[in-house]
Amino acid sequence: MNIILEILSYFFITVGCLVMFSAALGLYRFPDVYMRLHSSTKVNTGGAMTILFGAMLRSGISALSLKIFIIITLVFIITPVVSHAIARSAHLQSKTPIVSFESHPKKKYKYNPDYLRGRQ
Amino acid sequence: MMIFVYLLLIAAVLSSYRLFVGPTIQDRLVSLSCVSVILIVVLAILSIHYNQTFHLDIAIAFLFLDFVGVIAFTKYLGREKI
Repeated sequence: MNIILEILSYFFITVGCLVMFSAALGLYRFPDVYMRLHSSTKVNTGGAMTILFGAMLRSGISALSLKIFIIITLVFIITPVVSHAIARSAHLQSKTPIVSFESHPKKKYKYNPDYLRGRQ
Repeated sequence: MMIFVYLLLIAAVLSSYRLFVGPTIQDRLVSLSCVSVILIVVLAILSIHYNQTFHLDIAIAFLFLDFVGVIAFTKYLGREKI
């Protein structure tokens, strides 16, 4: 029973570490604020909750496990609120995304090169 | 356990690249939030590695610090009242 919990906790922590590394890679590579939000926030929230759940499995029933559960709840509430506030401030400053749909059925993409030079 | 800590620290360095060369302020805020979540997870892994609970208090305080800071910055950038 103990060995099964150990293996499960290692599995969850490994998967969460790879997911959070992919989130950081997307934050490094994507060209736009909204794409970076899309990469960073959702993936980061899921990865952090997975790693913390693995840690909670490993520590069993104790005070440490209770504190990790409190951190899981706080991450689940706080991180989407922060990402929503950042996207709202970018929208209020009238930042346009790079990729925009010209027409709905054809879905052509338009590239906006002024964004990369810092001019909106 | 320390392998995961090193992998997450490499991820934190990759995200903090965007903190220094991001073209807009919102990019820097996204990067700051990402780095703080990564550090919270690193503190949790260290706490179960050393089997002590005081790392988690630091993690909770760091989470609230990140929340208040980013919300204040975004309200200031959008010219809103808090």
